[in-house]
Amino acid sequence: MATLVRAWVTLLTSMKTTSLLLGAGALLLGVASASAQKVTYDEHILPLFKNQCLKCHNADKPKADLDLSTFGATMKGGSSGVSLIGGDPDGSALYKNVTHAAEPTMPPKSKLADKELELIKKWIAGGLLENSGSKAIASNRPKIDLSLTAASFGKPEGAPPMPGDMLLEPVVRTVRTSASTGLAASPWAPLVALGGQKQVLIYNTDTLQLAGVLPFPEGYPHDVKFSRNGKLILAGGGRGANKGLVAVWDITTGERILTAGDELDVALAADISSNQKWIAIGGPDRLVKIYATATGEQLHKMKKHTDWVLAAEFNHDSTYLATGDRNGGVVVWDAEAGQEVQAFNGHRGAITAVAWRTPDLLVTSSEDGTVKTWSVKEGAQVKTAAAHNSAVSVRLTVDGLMVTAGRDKTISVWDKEGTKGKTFTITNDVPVRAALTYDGKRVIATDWTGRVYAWDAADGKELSGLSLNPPTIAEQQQQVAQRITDLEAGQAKLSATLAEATTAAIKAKADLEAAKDANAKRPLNLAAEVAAKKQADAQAAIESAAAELKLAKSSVDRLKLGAFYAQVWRAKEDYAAHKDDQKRLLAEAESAKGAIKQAEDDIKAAKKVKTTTKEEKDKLAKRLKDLDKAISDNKKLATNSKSAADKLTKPLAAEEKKLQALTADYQKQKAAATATPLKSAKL
Amino acid sequence: MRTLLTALTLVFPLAAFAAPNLVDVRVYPPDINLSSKVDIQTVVVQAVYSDSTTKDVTGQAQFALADKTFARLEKAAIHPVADGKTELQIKFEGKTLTVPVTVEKSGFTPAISFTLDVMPVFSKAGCNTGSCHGSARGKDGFHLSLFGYDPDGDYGKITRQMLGRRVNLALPEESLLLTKATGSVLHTGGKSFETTDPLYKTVLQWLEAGAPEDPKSLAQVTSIEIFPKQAVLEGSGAAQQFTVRAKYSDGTDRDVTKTASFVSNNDTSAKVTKSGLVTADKRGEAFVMARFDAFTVGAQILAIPSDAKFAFPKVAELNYIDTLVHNKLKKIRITPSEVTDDATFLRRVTLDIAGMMPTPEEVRSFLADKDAKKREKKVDELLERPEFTELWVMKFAELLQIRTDNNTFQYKSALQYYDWLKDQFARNVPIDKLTQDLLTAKGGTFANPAANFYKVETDVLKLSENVAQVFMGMRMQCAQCHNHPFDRWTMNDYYGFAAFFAQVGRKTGEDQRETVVFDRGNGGVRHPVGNRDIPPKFLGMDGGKPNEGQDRREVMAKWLASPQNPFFARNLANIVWAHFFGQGIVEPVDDVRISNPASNPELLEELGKRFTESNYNFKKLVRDLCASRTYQLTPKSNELNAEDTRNFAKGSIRRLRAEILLDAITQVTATKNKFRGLPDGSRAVEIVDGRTTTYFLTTFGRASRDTVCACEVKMEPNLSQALHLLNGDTVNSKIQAGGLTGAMLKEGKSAEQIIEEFYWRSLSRPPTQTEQTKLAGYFEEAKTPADKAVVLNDIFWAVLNSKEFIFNH
Repeated sequence: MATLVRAWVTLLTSMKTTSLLLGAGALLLGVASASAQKVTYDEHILPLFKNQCLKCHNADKPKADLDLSTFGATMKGGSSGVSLIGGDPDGSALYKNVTHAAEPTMPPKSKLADKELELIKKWIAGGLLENSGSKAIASNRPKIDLSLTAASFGKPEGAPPMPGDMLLEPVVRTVRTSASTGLAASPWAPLVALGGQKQVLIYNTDTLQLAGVLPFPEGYPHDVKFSRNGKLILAGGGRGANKGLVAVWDITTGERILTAGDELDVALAADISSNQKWIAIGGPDRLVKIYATATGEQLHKMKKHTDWVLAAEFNHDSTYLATGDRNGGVVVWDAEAGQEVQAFNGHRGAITAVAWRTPDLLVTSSEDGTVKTWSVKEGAQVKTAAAHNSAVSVRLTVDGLMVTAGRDKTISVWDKEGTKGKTFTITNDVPVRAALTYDGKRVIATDWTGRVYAWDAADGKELSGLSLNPPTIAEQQQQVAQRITDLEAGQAKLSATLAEATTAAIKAKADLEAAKDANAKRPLNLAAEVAAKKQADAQAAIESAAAELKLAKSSVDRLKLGAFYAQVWRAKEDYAAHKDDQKRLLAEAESAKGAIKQAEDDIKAAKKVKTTTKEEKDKLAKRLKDLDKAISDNKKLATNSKSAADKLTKPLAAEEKKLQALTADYQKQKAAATATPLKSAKL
Repeated sequence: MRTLLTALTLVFPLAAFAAPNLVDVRVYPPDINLSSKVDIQTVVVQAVYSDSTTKDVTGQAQFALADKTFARLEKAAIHPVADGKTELQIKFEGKTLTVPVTVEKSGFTPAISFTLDVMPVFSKAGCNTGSCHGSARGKDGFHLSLFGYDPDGDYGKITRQMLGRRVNLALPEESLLLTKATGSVLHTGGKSFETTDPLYKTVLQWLEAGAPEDPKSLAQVTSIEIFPKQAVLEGSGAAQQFTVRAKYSDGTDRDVTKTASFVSNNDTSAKVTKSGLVTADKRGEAFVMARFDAFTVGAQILAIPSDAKFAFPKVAELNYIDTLVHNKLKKIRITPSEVTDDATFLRRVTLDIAGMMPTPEEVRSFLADKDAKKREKKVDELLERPEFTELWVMKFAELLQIRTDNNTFQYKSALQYYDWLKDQFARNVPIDKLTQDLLTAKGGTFANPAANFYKVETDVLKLSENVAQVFMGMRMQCAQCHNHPFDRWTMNDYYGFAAFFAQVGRKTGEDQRETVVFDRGNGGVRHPVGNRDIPPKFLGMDGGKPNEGQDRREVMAKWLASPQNPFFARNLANIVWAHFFGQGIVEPVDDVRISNPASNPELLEELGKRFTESNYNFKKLVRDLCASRTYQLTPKSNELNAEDTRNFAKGSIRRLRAEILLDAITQVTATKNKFRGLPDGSRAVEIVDGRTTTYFLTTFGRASRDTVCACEVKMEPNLSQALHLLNGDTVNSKIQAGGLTGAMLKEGKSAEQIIEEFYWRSLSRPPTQTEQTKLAGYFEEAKTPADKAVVLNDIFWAVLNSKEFIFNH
């Protein structure tokens, strides 16, 4: 979790147009930079390599057999041998190449900035450190055993999984919204997940209220999925041409339980298998990779696609994984073995989405405008439908209802037989994704400008409330307060209208009764009907206003609780980060001790060396002097780090206590708040 | 002025005696029009000196605005303040100039536009070049139109092709478009610009505004200009700043120096920076091009060494050609060679005009002639020979691709076409008339052989490309798929010109071999971007809309072969020039483009003008060329012009082209050739069909007439040519077949006399004393007449294999 906060800190410093709300993390900045004296592979060199070298020297495509994407591989060197010699930058082939002192000059067409060269030099001179000790690893380690037994596929036991304590405060607020390709509906609960900016937003589709914010500081969630049982939320994404990964959260606790993948570009497509053993990632490297949820290890790397992998989904029983690429290729893989089962070639444009209708039937949408259904068993296409001029999205409900979106600016709902039903047209911009809620009753869609649409699937009425840029709790509180004031102010007027309408209705009725003959009655009859309708309308208006007021009032409590939870959440993050920092300092001290020991051994060894010439003597003397200096430097570092770490112990204990108290308070307040289930309304 | 000069002499006493005078000060652009709050115009001041050198004196000149309420100055840039008109005054060394300044809409900040603001960024940063995202398949999954010919398409690709990638409107700075360009994430192309670069800011600003699409009514660039047009920079390190201005369809203009892309065609002589600053280096000429939107313009840079002692010698200027050539030579500080001797001149001019060797009698009588005007008289005489016509008929037959083609173009048609062409030349039909007849030809190809023009090439696009290449010297091919990056032609120009040929109809006549060409009256060409029908439009200028029911070709032909089309006369003049000087003023002759400028534009212009004025009189043009001193120069170089190849400062040495070489060998050996369809003894120049050839002709690069390209005629020497002359059957058998040696021996001529005759025949001169002495040595062992004959034939063979024979010099 500490890494999360640290990422926010960088975010804070890099963002001008956005307001960052969780400023508490910024406190960490000072601590972190003060102790960053050593240049290490993980902290300094890898980020540099990532931007400049990994395009050609990565694990998938190691040019000249040189892979710089991991510490181990970097140390191994390439086809021309070891490229790095600790302590000797000028003797290291890699350094010679990047300083253009030797052929081939790297990067081939440019030269690194002096600052970057200096960093590499320091790193080599400093002895090629991997990291500053026990750097908190961004969890390729599982925290829980996710794998499920076959029985629990599909609908989960008991109540559908709904968010419990979850952050309601967006971590990023922006001036504008942008196109979002992350949209998923829970298969069992009234929930949708939207890929926002460095966060995943969960909305309750019944109340159309924000139900949770899952921070994703690594970047932009390109693909968002619910697990088959609806208990987990997955986001695949990252930073373009820089980092690709998948994060998984438990929906009931809001905890991030897993992070997998370390790609060189955004994960454009991702999914978790129904048995929760595997995570699939696809992206611009044209590869499909399967990671084990249990260990975070890569199990398979599949080469077959000829262009970017844009869509991936495991089937219901985790037997197959389907992937689709930008060139129109669809491949079905054996999920466990990572072997190709079928390749479906029929689309003439990029595959924009793949979705399993049954464990055997796969539905694919493509820029060629068609939505096709394929059977793995038959090994063939079983159905094709001209959906749009260019289909950008297809999603299915558990019951087999389908929704598609196209560049013709329409979103269509299809019934279980595959017949096109209601079509919604938007005028704003091209749609990006569309999904149906679990019950098929609401259609949710996003467009290129980042606007989120919600419609009632039955009557086609447009609903509002969903946003890719939700207001902060404070803003929401203000809005709610305003709404309550407005509603209360409107009450008197509504009552007056009702009274007036009632009087008019009574009068009309009386007039009607007073009329003599049928001829006179006819116009009066009509007037009475109109008056009665007006009365009924006025009554309805009062009732709806009352309902809204009730909802708004309940929102006050909900938001209050939400604000409190945000506080708890922040405190938790801070505590974890501080604790992490202490750990790092201790590790640094340990590694310094190790370095001292090494230097002492070196001195012993050096003293044994016999010298004859003056040159040799001088060299030895210099070496001993250097080693002495290294020992004293490291001693200083060890002492400093240790004392810095020790200094943190006390405040940490206090912080932990505070956190416990805060959490207890929150639980109390939560218990006190009566949770009234709300069906539908604004806010 | 005088005081200033005195001041100068005080500062530079040593250079003072040679210091050239300031003759002119020029300010660019000629007017300043600011039309929005953010509009800026930079000004360049150039001083011209009496020795034709120029200096960028922008930094030394004094600027002042007549009225500061409307505009303000920041160094040499004018910024708007309020709407109104004023003047910018520029003072330099006693000269004062004024430039009108107009400020409009000074309170208006235009919305950022994708086409006008963002697209130039991709061009300037090199994103859309052929080796990057502009390549046909894009790069790393991202494709932009080559050099930005399709802004609408690029807008779609950047914003909406890969939904959720490339642009992020919520966090604009994190858009992949920018993080890639700044190299802050992996980018194969590396860093294109820094975050501090105005290019970055432009794109960011556009993203912050929501990456808006341009309104349909957006003003379009209509032309761009570069200032100054020419600079003569003295000494390595001398610099000149250029400024580029774009004009828009709404009448406004913009200083686009910062967003235009600059490139120099000769970095060793003049380097240009991204911001348009040119620095001279080694002596030479360079052409600096500025590209913006779909347009390319260029400026000529002459880099000359500082040499105060240079003085142009007093040499005769026989006509306007010499004046214009010398003007250029003076600028680049080169002196022309001497005039060649009479014998060489006669051989040169006879080969050039008639395609033949002068006979020994002709040479002797010419040498004996004491008339001061004998060279001019000779030219006149040669021009009246039928061989002159035949030579040019051959050259035009190459341009018109007269050749048989399996089943589609039969010999009968080729012959008719050729005869028609020959007839036109024989009757001295002016070239404009001939061209118009060709371009508007209709009816059966048997009845009207000119209609074969539309039978040779039937593809609309290729046909229009051929017309542009043959009659205007332009290669339009690039513009079929993208705006020409190094020329002015856009796809609109290309399809607008092709539209003239879109309605040509063809059907088979009564005879299967005859094609009837007619005007269909309907049809058009479609632009590949947007698939819209493009109306016909003249190349490089407005106009070309045909009236209802009018044959589109008539409109085009009337314009193309007329003074209104500046390219027509210039192109023909250049083709003729290239024939007589070995290379065109624009070289190759059929590749006129901004990035391949004329080595002497004034000369080309004047030749074109005079050719037009003479009603396209071919002979008059040839007469002018041959009468010039420039044509008569010896190929021997002097110290200054040894390196020069492009400025006609010395005579050129050219290998005889295939047909003429064969004819020459045939002529001097007194033999005959037989070609298909021609009587025995015809010359190779007269061959009708491009397909008719011999091993000799093919080896020496005869045009097969498969394309209209000037490169069809290959002049490059190669090994098989040398081997064929040495060992092949042509030279040796012709010497045997001609029997000249035997005949002369029979006449009782001595070996010396016979050798001398060989020399006169082949080289238009007698052998030198050394040559005679050396050759005499070969007869020591030749006792019998038969032995003598063998030795003589060998000597003849040696003469025909000499470079002096094979080359026109």
